[in-house]
Amino acid sequence: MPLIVRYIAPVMSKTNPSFLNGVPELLVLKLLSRREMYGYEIVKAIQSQTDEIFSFGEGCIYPYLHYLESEKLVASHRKEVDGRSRNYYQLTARGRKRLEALSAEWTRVASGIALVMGPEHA
Amino acid sequence: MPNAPAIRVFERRLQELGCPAGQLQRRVRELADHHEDLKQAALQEGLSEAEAEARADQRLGEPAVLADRVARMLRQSSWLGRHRVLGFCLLPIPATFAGSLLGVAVAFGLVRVWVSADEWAVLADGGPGFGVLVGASRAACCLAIALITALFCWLAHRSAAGRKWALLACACCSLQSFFGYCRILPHSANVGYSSTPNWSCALIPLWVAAVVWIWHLLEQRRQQDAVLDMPTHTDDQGSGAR
Repeated sequence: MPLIVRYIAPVMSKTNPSFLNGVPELLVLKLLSRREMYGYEIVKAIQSQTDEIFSFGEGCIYPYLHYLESEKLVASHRKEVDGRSRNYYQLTARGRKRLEALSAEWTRVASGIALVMGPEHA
Repeated sequence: MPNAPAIRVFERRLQELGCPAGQLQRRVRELADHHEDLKQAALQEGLSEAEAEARADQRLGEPAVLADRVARMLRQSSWLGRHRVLGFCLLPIPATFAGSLLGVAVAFGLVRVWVSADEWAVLADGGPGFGVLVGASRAACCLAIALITALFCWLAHRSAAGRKWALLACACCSLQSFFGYCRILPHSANVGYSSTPNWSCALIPLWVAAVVWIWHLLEQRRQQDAVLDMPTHTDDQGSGAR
C-alpha cells in the first residue's frame, strides 16, 4: 500500500499536522544525505530499504521533491550518467540541518511510543 | 519518452494550469525520464514494448493528477501563489493608483529638469507649452497603468497562478482606472477618484489582457513544439551534463 502518498498533501500545505507528516521528508532527506539521487532511484531505494512498507506512487515523488527544493532543503542539477541525462537531487546545508532535527524528533517519538507499546512490540 | 501518451497528458495539463515555460520543460523532462526508467525495467523483465509502456503508465500514476500536484506545489512555493485573491484582486488596485501617481510625478520631474526655472514658472501659470506638460503627464499616467498591469500579469505567470488570475488582475486594474482620474491644471496636479468614467485609462489594462491572452496562446504552441523537440535518452548521448 502506498502509505506515504496519503501524507504528502498535508506536509505540503503546512496545515493539519498528522502523525506521519515528517516521515516522507525524513526518508528522502536521509537517502539524499548518503549520495545524490534522481527521482526513480529515490522511489526504488525507499521501496527496497523499507521492505516495501513505504511505497510511493512513482510520479508522486516529484511534487514532493519540488516542495523540498522550494524550501531549499535539496538542490537539483542535470547530469549525464551512462548516456542518460537526468535531474539529480542533493542535500543542501539547510537540508542537513533539517535532517538532524527530524532524526532527533523521530528518535524521541519512537522511543516514547516504544515505552507505551511495551517490549513485545520492540 | 517525451512522446509517451501519459507524458503528453501531463504536459498539456501543466500548460492548462499556467505552468511557466522553463518549469514546464523541466517537469515534463523529469517525468519522461522516470517513465523511460520504468519502461526499461519492464523490458528487462521480458515484457513486450506495449506491455512495458502500459506498465510504466500504470506505475507512474494518473498524469493529470500528477500535473495538478506539480502545479499546486509551484503555486505554494511563492507568496503570490499562496495568496492569489490578495495578490491579484486587491493588490492591483492600490498598486495602479500608486503607479499613476508615480507616473505623473516622474513626468513633472523630467519636465522640471528639462526646462529652466523661468520656463517652469511660465508652464505653471498655464503659459505656452502647458499643453505639452498635460499631455506628457497623461501619457506617463497611462504608461504607468500599462506597466503595473503587465507586472501583475508577469507575476501571475511566474507564480504559476494561471491565466485566469492574470486576467483578473487586468480587470482589477481596469476597474481602478475606470474611476481614477489625472487632472493637470495651472499650479495644481490632481490624481484621484471620480464618479465620471475614465474610459481611455480603463481600456489600457484590457488591451494588456488581450496581449497576455495572445501571448499565452503563442507560448502554449511554443512549449508544445519545445517538448516535442526534447531529446530522448539516446539523443542525450554525447551532450554534456547541464
